[in-house]
Amino acid sequence: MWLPERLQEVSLFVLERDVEAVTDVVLRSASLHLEEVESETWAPQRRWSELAGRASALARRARDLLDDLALEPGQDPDEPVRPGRELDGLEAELASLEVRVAELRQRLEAQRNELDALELARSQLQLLSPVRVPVESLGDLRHLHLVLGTMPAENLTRVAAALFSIAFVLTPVQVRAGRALVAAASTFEDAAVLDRALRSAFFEPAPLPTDRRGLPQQALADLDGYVDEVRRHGVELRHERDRLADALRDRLLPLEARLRRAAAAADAIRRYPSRGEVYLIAGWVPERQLAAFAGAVRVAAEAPVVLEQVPPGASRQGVPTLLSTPRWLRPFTGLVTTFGLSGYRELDPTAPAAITFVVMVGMMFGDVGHGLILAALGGVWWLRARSPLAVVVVAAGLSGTVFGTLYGTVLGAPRLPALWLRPLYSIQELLLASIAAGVVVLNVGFALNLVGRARARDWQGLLIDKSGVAGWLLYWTLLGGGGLVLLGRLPASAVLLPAALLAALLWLREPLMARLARRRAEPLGESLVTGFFELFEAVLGYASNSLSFVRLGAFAVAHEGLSAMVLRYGSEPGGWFVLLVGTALIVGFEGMVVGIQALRLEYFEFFGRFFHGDGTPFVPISYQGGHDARTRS
Amino acid sequence: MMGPFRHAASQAQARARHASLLDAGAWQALLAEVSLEGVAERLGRALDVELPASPAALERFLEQRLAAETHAVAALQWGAPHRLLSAFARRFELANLKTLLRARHHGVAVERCEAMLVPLPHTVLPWRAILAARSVEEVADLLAATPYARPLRTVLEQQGEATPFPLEVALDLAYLQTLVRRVLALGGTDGRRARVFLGEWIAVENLSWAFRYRRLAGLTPEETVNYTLHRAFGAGLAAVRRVAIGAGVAEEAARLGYRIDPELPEEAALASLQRAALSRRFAAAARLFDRAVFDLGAVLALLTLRQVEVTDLVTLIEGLAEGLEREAVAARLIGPGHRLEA
Repeated sequence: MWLPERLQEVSLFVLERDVEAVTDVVLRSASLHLEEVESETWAPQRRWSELAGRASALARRARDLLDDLALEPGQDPDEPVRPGRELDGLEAELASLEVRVAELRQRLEAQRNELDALELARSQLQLLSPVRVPVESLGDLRHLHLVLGTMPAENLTRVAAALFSIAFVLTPVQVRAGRALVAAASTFEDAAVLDRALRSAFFEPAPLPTDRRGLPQQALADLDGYVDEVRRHGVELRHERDRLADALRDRLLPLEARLRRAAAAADAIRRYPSRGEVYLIAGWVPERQLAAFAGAVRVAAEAPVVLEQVPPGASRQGVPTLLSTPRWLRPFTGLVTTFGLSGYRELDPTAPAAITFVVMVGMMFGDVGHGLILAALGGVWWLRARSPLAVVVVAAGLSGTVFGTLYGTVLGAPRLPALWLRPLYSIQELLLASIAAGVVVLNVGFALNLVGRARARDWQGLLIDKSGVAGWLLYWTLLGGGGLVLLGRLPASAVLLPAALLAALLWLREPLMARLARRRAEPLGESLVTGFFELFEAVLGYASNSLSFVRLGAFAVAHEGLSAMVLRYGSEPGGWFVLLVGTALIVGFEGMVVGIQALRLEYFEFFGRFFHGDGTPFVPISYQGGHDARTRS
Repeated sequence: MMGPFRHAASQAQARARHASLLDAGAWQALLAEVSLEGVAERLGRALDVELPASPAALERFLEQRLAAETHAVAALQWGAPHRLLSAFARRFELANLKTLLRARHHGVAVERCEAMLVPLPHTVLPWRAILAARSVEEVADLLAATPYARPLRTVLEQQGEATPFPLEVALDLAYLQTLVRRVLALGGTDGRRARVFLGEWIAVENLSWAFRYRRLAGLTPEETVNYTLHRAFGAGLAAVRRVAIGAGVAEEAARLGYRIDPELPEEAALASLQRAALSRRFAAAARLFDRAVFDLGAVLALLTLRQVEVTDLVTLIEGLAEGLEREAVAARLIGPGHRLEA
């Protein structure tokens, strides 16, 4: 729950003859996050880049064949694919199927094109139908430059705007599939301007239908009969396509599946560095899957495979993160991942973030009625969309209900005995409790930081840092000691001296650490100035971070006040509308504000103490995950 | 239903991310570095990553980070703001796609071309297959389910295997037209903020296109008008027509409220206009974060500040690579490092 899955850095040294079989196992297991290693002696082979591109193109051609025959992709094959060895055979098989389909494909395409051309001619003739001139003479105009053609419909206004310097006519006839059929005309003198404007609006000229004869009306009637004939031919072609699909199905579906897998495998292999006959498959595998992974790899390879496994050392950079959040906590992961993904050595703060978020929202939104409404809305949302966020809303609503019981309020009215306090009547007590809650949250943050630093063996950060031991002691010296001084239990000097010593330690952190680590220190003056401002910011931060939690109480007071006001005006004759809108506003708008505030406290005050959130997600290579690491997040 | 919670999360996210911007102190330290290695190391420490000390790789890293941040903030929005930010985030994809089309046209090897692309872990485009595609037609097929397919097909239908210029024009135009529509779809405060941060950027981009088409590509007025936006927040059709028939940069910039030296050559004047526009957006973004803003402005301001940070870091990196003086580099910065003493 607190830590991501333990990973092992794995390096597989595989002989060329086994690289495909091993890759197949790796992709099937979907448990290796590939690391792209490159050095002067180990580099990916160009041959595999070419093969990957070729396999990808073949897979695409196979998919096109499926589309041509209106077939759905088939099941993935059980046997491993060997792109390097099989690709020629697969390509030959694909080519033979393409030959079978090509002629039909061409006829189908020709039929579609002919139909399109006829439809275009039909539209042109419709446009020309008022003209009492035989169609065949339209090509002989002397003073008018007339063009017909299609262009993107959205460019019509653009082209009209572009022709601001000449006189022109632009008549759209019809729009089909986003393209408009237009007739455009200008004088012969302006023909070049018109043509340039049309061309730059992606106009595609369609020659005037001068192959038709007679007046446009008559030509149109002739054309309609021919269009029906071409359509009937299209239906016959589609029947023929279905028969061909039935005949080729058993060859094409397995072929397409193999090519798809071959493309994925070749794409993985092209990323392996190699040296001579040996390929290096390096990456990260979850520790609990390692034995099964290694076993499967060894079984797949004919020659012995050298498998080096190294647990990531403390200084190892770039280890990906595979969260192992328990099922019940998963809906809350969004609270953390919105900020960032925890690094491999970082503690996953989902559990404390979930608890503190829910408690803080409940404290600010404490009301039995409003809480139950929020929880019910979350429940409906869950039933409709199964969104993880719905669970967070339900939890927040229930927390509001619990705090509502403590405050004794139901829909803004004090209908229950307050088990703790009434926010409007115990403001001071509530604000102090809020600060106390803040102190608890901040201290959890300090503690998590110490654990995280210790895990990372960052002793300097653990001991001398504003969120380390020295910072924590300074925080308590100022907060606890300061409180005792105010209560007269301690003399001021008893607090000032240790506080000054701790502050000095933090101030001189950089030069001290440089000396201890025997490294070159930054110039002393610069260190002192930077250190002073960092110390100033840290001390200010201790106070402001703690006081920031006052908002928990302040919002609880505001919530009760607002609810009471809605109740007051809602209880007057005809006030149901106020009650309804007011409650909706409180649940919706105030819920939003409270959410912002709780997240703000989480991210700034809590996470700021210990969490970096700059982890890299663990993305295993697999057949399902596509064939491009860049495409997966 | 989830709107309020997403809004809450996005506001908190914007503020949390705002805290990670490089401040004046960090800039001072960066400006004090004398080598690219020093900058890479210091920047790496600030960002907690190991950075390569090559200008191209550093710049790609910064772009990648900016893209990831844009994607992350878009993911938390919903409705019209989500559609706007998602479209805005696509500009990195678009830049990659244009690079790829240009590289294909010039016969650049697949591996070299891949190395030029900014890695975008959040996009779903099949880059490998696109790189391996045999024709632009095939690229358009691979992009069938994306907004890029239609402009590519439009050009291909007209021109066959076209040169990159019309393809890029069509892609750019379709992209910014979508963005304009999405800005206009926003009402109220969100709409006003989008006009400030994105509208002004779009306006200056549109003007720059018009000037470059007129001068560098030698296009005629009707072509220039057709290849530019007609609605562009103060630099739409009327502005483009003026440019197409000979207006100057300073004159058009003045209409948008920027003062550009009329004596500057056109390219320098355009660069100066783009810098002035970014400075103005930076100032607006910084002002916004001084107040408690709970609308889309916080997110757009964050992205603007990050864009300025990236632009400034690139200026610093390029400046170091070219051996410029610290003061000269600092004077060219826009963000917190502007005119800092090194």
